[in-house]
Amino acid sequence: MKACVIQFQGTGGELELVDALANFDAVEVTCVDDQATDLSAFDVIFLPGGASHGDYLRPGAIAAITPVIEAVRKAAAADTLIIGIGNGFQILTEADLLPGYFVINETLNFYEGYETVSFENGELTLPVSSKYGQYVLDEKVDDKQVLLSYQSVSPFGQEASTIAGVSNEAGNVIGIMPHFERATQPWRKSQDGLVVLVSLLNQVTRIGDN
Amino acid sequence: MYNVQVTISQKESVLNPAAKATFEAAEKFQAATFEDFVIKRLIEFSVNAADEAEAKSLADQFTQQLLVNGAMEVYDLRIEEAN
Repeated sequence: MKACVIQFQGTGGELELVDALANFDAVEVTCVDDQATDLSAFDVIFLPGGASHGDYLRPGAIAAITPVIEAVRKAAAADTLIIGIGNGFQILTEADLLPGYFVINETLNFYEGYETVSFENGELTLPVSSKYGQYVLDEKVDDKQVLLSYQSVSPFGQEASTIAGVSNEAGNVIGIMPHFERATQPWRKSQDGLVVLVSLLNQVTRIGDN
Repeated sequence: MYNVQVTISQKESVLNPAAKATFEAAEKFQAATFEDFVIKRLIEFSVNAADEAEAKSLADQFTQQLLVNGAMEVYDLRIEEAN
């Protein structure tokens, strides 16, 4: 399986994601920058977390108009699996590849911590970290598009959506706010991120049980 | 050359923690009542165009493509010829 990790200017989470993917021998990882124009060789494309372009204007806004996003659009249209994590999720909403938008946290402060989220038929402990983590959906999405949910309230604000991970209608473009890639190594507080990662990668090629 | 001012504000329906926090802080000023806070962003730039209509069209397009997110923000655009 060929995986691509996009490095936008200022992106900070790409190395953690590459480390997480290194858990799987079947995954061959290539990093590309935001000037890449052809991603057709990849089976799965990741937009990592970390405040690209300093979160200027709005988180993800500047990254969303870089050349690589046109390549991401083409890949999405060709049914390639696209996964945005944290800021990568914000980029996908700014690019209108996912519904909704993000606003600054209720406290106006950066928040990080471990949260319990519902995923598939169980509960996971995953790290979150964001200053602009309040996810707002003005439109109703189908239940099948909701992949992860916080327990009763978003950690970023009481009025925000409790959705922690969502897909587009087709199911191949996915945004996940918790940094599951930071919960995949044995020295981390939680390794529950592996459950998410295996489940996502299994959509492309079966690589194991989650 | 034309000077452009784009004033961006969140739609009233969108969560606005900054305005809410400012209102809550303002409640501590007891000499008066301050309310209905709106926090806006002002972005200024200049654009090279043949005339004001073209400048407005270019600036408007650019603003919609990058400066604002139409799902959550509204904007007011003003143009004047540079001296």
